[in-house]
Amino acid sequence: MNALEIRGLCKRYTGFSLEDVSFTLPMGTITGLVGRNGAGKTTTLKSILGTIHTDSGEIRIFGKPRSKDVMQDVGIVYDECCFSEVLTLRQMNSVLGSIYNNWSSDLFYGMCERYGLPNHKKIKTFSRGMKQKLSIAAAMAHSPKLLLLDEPTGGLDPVARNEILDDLWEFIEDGMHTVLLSTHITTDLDRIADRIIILSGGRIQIDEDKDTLLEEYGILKGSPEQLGMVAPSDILGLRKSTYFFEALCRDREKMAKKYPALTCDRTDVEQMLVLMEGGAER
Amino acid sequence: MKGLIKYDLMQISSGLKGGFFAVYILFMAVLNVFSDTGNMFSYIIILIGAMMGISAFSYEETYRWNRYTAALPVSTRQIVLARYLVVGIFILGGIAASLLLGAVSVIAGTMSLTLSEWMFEMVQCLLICILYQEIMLPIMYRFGAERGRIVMMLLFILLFAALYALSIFAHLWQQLATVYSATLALGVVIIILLPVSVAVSIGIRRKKEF
Repeated sequence: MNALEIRGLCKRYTGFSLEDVSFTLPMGTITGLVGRNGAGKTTTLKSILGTIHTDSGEIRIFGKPRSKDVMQDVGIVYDECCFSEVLTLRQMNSVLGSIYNNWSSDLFYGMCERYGLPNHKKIKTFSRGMKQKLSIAAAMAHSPKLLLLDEPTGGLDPVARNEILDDLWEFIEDGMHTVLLSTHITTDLDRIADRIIILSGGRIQIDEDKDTLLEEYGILKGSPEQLGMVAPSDILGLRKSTYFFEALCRDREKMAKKYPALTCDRTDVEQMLVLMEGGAER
Repeated sequence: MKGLIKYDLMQISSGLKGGFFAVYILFMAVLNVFSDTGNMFSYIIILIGAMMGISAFSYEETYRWNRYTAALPVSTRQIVLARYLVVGIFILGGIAASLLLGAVSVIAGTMSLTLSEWMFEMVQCLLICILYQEIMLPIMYRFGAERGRIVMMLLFILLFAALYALSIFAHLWQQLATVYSATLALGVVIIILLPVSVAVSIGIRRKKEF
């Protein structure tokens, strides 16, 4: 059973639309949802959570349509803490403990203690990093089977980010939990993701296993004059300057043989995103 | 739903602890002692109680709790009912404070009404307060905290304009109804309006996107 299945998701706004987004999340994996600002990552997450109304498409969580019972097993971390700043950890524990059937105060307080969050101080005294850690502790304390995170590490220092990424890794270790991490900090995904989905302009451009992505995709490099020898159908993304061009391609080894005059290097998620959004004509 | 009620109550009560509300009650109590119509201030507190329940909307917009609750394992119906209950709890709190202030008036000897007259005016104030909330809550759901207050102020202006117009026909009104029957009619209206208000609020919230 997949943790999440999305088929043909569409959502239209003035000036932007999410078109025909389809993907699945296998259980026990961390999937990174990557894209530049405005690509549709948050819209996709909101559609999964049901906080916006979609125009078409089907979403199934653990094989079932979204419902109150299903949402008991889903945790959410937004890009900012959504808890009232006049409340304390203890009060939030009481609130969320009354909402989630599987809420564990021990787990919640344990995580908060590990993150160094004070029990009795109001949330308004917390730093941004502390508030995000609180959001993560609150999302995990009811042992969700699916955890959705929308830019959870933005604005955090490297130590805090590492802590959070370690916790996510530990979260999926038993194979019964799944994470969908929406972010534009691609280095986080290089570290922990199993799958990468790249969204651009409201559409999925790439949906691939991370190792396959890093192994098979490559960047063709050469002078601007050499660009003409590359078939447009081989170019997935392009960046040109006065002195060079970089073209994202699939099947790196095949491209290296096909264009021996050009360099074909390995790539990473960040480079892929930059090239796909490069905007240069092929 | 219990968690949602707890959240609103704890949040709003946190604002009370700042001392302002306690000072305000004390100020009202002092006015009750020294004013000839001291009992009047005992009614105002019911309105204040109701307004505090409404402040939950401001808080949830400020901290984006409404976005979070939209993703919780609770239904829209539960979210809305919880808010109505919170407002009801604060109205009850207002009544308790009002009874306390009334008692201060009686002890100070500044109560200008008999006990039954005072209780009747309390009931009238309570009914108006509940009617106000039944209209206010769907407006808050529709327009949000800030614009909702502006819409309510405009409604108040219309209400007072309508009452002024009615007062021109007061002699006709006096032939048709006594204060007691008008209060009874208001009570019936409130009972009928409550499920309508809740249903409208649920419908509005359900359509919202966060």
